[in-house]
Amino acid sequence: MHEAHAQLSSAFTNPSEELLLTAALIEGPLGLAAWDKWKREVDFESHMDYSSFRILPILYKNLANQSVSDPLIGRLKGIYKHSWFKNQQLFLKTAKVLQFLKNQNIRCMLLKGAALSIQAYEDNAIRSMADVDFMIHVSDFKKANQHLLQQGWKSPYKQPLKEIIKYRKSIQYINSIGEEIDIHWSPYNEYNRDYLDDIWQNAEKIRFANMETWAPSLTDSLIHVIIHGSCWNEERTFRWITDASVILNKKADQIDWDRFIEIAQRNTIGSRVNDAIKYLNNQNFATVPSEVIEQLEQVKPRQKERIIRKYALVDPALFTAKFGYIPFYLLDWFTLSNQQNIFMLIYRFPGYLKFVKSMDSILEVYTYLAKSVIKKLFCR
Amino acid sequence: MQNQVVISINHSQIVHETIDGETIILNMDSGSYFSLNNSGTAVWESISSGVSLNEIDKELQRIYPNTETVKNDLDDFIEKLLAEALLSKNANTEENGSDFSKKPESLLHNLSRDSYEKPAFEKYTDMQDILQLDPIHEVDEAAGWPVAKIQPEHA
Repeated sequence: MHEAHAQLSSAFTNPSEELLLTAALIEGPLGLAAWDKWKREVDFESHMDYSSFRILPILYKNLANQSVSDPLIGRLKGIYKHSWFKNQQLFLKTAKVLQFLKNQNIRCMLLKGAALSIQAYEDNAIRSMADVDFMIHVSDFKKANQHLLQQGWKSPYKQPLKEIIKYRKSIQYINSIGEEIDIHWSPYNEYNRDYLDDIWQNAEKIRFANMETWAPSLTDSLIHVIIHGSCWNEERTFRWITDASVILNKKADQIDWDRFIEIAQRNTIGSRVNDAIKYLNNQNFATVPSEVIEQLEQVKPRQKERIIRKYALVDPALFTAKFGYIPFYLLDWFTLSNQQNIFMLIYRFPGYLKFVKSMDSILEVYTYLAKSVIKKLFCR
Repeated sequence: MQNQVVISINHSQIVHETIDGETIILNMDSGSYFSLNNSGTAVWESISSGVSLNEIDKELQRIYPNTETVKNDLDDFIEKLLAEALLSKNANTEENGSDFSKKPESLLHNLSRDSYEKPAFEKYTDMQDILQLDPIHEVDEAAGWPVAKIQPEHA
């Protein structure tokens, strides 16, 4: 296996997760053999981690499509129905906010799970989700924020909106009964903000919870699920593989490969997209045209991307224990900023640190940096 | 134009899905969750496809000629679905598109010819309770969520 694939594989799937995904995504003897082996190797009763649990609705669907009879089918079907019920509640809750913003002439676009449930999975249970993410135009953010605050929603950020927009891709609001919403103005950190208009221009109208709204094109969504999946997370994020596989297996005709490669190149995410696409192809989770793989191979990562690729998959605890939190913040800043020049990125880093640490002045940032360095030197 | 009362799915208030012979429904206003048995699902699917109640009744009587309660059971089932606002009554107009020419045979073909099952549903109203039910460990192994496992009584 290619070194990058091995890195990706070890970061996202261990052997039992690989079996689970094969059973959930592949029909026929290969998938059924994986199902038998997974059942023997994994203790369904006593150990089911949350990330694997979230694959069970699509596993049920794949087994039911093949009329598999098994003592576990009753509970798998129950998990599928549980996911349907939870998703419906989330959809209804989100639709109220979307309708409210729509009434204020603010255009909203669903992202990730909710959009993919409609566009790719075509099923409201398979893709279980903890929340529904949506995006608005960055130019609408001030207006949306004002209306949401009037409606009783609260944001945890005290910083000026201009800084929130500069240093974050989304913001969370919470209302008086504890409901939460995440509003994005960029789908993920690395998305070059100059390119956001392109997502809106290629967006598709969809029906969601009895209302009309927008979703990214499946080309944009494919990029999004890959980049969202290919970074370290406390919860294992191998679910990106099911999202990407379903898009590629059910809706391959809707992928604009030329645009896909261009997005990967322009947003300096080419090498991670390349790793992911080759992984999907080599593991038989999806078939990608060979010319696409060849073209992605030719995308040469810039210095910034090489750094992100090397560290984005690593548990931050491994390097924060050794170097403190500064490298962690630096990596986050690298992914967030449009700036490609490493020196300029480092030069502007104190501004970012001031924001995330809620500090009052740049002087306070430099004091913090100096203290951190001195502390580390003395620790050694 | 026919001026007749039509029973149809109350789309403005519910979401529903049929999974392997079981229709599940969420009433968006009340938050209640419903699960229809196999014969209830066949009736629901027929209504959803625009088949008239009269046609469904005739087809059920043809399948179960020796069961006297077919019509009463169907009427009772429909009344309960109406009471839960899962179905609605409308005047049939060209606008609402009801199609009395549709036949229910294909939708009722999965019903067992040997044993009659009264169309029925289970209703779950305590949403927090059923959502918190662990769908692996706390459910009936054959039925799955939301049917809770029966705890053995302690001596």
